Amino acid sequence: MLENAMLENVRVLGSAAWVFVALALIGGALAVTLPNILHAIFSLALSLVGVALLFLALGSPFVAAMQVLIYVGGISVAMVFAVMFAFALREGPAGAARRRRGLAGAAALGVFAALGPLIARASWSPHFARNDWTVAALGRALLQHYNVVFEALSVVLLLAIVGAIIVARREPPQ
Amino acid sequence: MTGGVGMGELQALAPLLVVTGWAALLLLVSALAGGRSLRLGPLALCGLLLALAAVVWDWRLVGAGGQVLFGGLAVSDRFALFLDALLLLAGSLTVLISGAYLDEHGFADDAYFSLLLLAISGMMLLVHATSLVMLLIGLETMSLAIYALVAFWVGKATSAEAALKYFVMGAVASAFLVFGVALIYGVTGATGYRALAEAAAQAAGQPLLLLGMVFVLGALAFKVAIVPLHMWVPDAYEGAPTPVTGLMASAVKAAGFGALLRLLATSFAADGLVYGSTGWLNPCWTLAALTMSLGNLAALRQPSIKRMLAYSSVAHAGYVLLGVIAAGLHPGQLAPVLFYLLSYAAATLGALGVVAWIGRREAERLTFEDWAGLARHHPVVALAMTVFMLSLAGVPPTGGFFAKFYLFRAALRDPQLVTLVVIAVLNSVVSVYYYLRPVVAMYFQDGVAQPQPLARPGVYAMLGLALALVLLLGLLPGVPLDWALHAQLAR
Repeated sequence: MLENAMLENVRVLGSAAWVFVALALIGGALAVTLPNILHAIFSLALSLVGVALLFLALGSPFVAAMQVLIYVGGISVAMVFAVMFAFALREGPAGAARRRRGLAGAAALGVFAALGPLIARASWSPHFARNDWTVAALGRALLQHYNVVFEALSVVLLLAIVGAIIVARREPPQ
Repeated sequence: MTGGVGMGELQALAPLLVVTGWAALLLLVSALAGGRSLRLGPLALCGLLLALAAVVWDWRLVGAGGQVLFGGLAVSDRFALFLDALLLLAGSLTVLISGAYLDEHGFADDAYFSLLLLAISGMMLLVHATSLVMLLIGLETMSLAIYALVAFWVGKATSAEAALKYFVMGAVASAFLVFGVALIYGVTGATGYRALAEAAAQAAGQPLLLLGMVFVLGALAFKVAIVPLHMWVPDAYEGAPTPVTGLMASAVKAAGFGALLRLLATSFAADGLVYGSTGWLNPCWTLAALTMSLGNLAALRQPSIKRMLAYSSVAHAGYVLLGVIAAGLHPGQLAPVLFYLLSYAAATLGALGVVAWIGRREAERLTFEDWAGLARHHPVVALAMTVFMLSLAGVPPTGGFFAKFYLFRAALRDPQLVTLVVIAVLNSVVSVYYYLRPVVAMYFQDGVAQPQPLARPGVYAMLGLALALVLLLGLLPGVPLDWALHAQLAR
């Protein structure tokens, strides 16, 4: 019963998938073009919300929730704090960067034109057509088979924090 | 409970666990010191030596066949353990020289040694990884620590610039790695090397699989500086604190090539994917030729010794790539590459050690004029530097000669590689010119001022050990070569 309701939800959301794609794309485009860094971060958050909705449309409510919690709620807010403490808010691109913008856009479109048809034509076999994408199943996978990955990632996080402190400290050498 | 972690698995991965745990211990010690300046070098060295002992212990424990760990996420085999020993050795030499260097240049050493140990643990994870997930984590651990170490020189513009350049380009490389992993997973449904080998053989014709492989291999090629992904090398090597430069040239390169070899040999070795049959040989051949030639040509014109050694590291990546190709065409022939990596690491660490030795605060003394007349005041160090240069150039009786000879001889067995070996030999001949430039400056030019080098016991110990290693590898190559021959990948 519950499964049927969920499948129905997925179907309804799936028909709106293009709206979510548009949301993610527009947010992304704004994030790299807006001159005000704060605005750019908010656009990035918008793009991340679009990605979260896509996860929902694909039937992964847990991943969608985590996407919102961690990326929109956590990382975007952390970025806002970092920017408010550290940088001038309005920094237009330098002259050289402005000229390279067209080139970068063309390169990105070129990659998309090359990859798009390949991805559309490839046979994506569903390797995990199981339906047990419950939080319990994910937790079991993370703490059993992928336990070591989980622990190794915590080392990466520790390292990132220590490294960021080292790079950010300002005092001159004694 | 399936998939839990067993005691035996932890034992087989003991070297990695010791280094990671020791890094955390060092962080704790400096936190408890409450701002007092500690000298953590000796403690860090203890951790590395303990891990080295664990490598020796594991060498017997895992046996010739190796041991698969954590349901195929990682492996402990003699190939990985050989590289572990190399990485720990390079780390120990770096730690030995770092203490005096940090003092001299006024760094606070609070997190330096923990970052160094974490970098080494990332490299060890990289060579033990048998899953694309672990490969990514290992690469990120190594890279993040190295970025921070390159930027360690607070208040020096070139260090910050080098770190930023390396960081931005490295982040792009990591993004390509993730993209490649996603493509490979999408086509094959596998991330473990073993499963990937079977799935990739079936999906061999798919362009997206090929693209994914190119992205993953490209990210690793960036780390070991294969042309055209070498652009960051001169700036990053020059701007980094010199001991860190040594670590990048020796350990990062060895770890990157280790991961590359394992990936090529175990998962992309299916019939439709090997070098020969799908034309892999040609791009690899071209890249190897370009890497050694461009690296050597650029090294010819460098005014700074540190930059010259940076380009020399690019050239050596080209020679190693030749060995990788040969190992791909004749599976199981890993010993020449491993021996080469070891001998190159010893010589380049020694050479950069001398560079660190001669520089003082506010005067790094990197140009050839700065080295003029060094032999008159410091004949022993000048002699050591000469040996390091001769080893890098591949002149007997040094380790570099034997490593090149052995590598080229192994490659010559394949008729497709004869031209490439000829190119490599010509490059070696050209390289003698720039490797002899500091030697000529030291012995045959008059210096204006008496050099005031960094005369500290740790520095001399490091230089002595590197010199002993280079000579040992050249004069008595039998024992290390025997280890390299036993360093086979787990089947």
